[in-house]
Amino acid sequence: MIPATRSLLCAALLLLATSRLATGAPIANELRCQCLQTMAGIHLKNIQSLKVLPSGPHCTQTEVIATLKNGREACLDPEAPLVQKIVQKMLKGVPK
Amino acid sequence: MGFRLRPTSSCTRACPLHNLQILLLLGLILVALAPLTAGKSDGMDPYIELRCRCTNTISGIPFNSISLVNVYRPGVHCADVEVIATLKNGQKTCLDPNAPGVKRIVMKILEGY
Repeated sequence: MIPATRSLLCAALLLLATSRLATGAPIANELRCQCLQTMAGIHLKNIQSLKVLPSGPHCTQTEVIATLKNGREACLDPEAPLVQKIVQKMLKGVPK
Repeated sequence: MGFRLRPTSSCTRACPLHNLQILLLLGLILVALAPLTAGKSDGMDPYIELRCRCTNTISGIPFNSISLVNVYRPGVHCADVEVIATLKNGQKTCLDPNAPGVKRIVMKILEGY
């Protein structure tokens, strides 16, 4: 085999192994805080879904991330009373 | 010219064996790239599921096993509120939004226990 071809073959095999490993690994959670700033609240009808992450080794703060209907994400302050009301309303299934 | 069964080792250009090697490398690279694309699309999740995700729900799970909780509002895709908890072992489970235990779990997370 030509030396240059052998090098390319090794590179391709390495790439293949790397991608397989990445595919097999479970999708890990973010290993850091995701929210730099938080908002006190947004209108409930703009919210499509809500993600609540308890504090842990990855982040010392509880984080509430709202996915809006326009596709954007917004961080909410978990301690704000309005945010807690939003969560309670969502669990009740308020129609939009 | 007679048909040669073995190409000489000095052949370095326009050689069938060489072309085969190049094609093999190209195939390997393409195969390697495909899973990455699939992985990324999984992570991004650009589309809303066009149906309800939860067929069965449970009324509660141990608080310590929760990695995160997703709450989905009713919409055109699904008339129900759906609460999907991701456990620390990576599994996902549906919780009953009407169960008092589920409300307690979510509010407890918000308070930062």
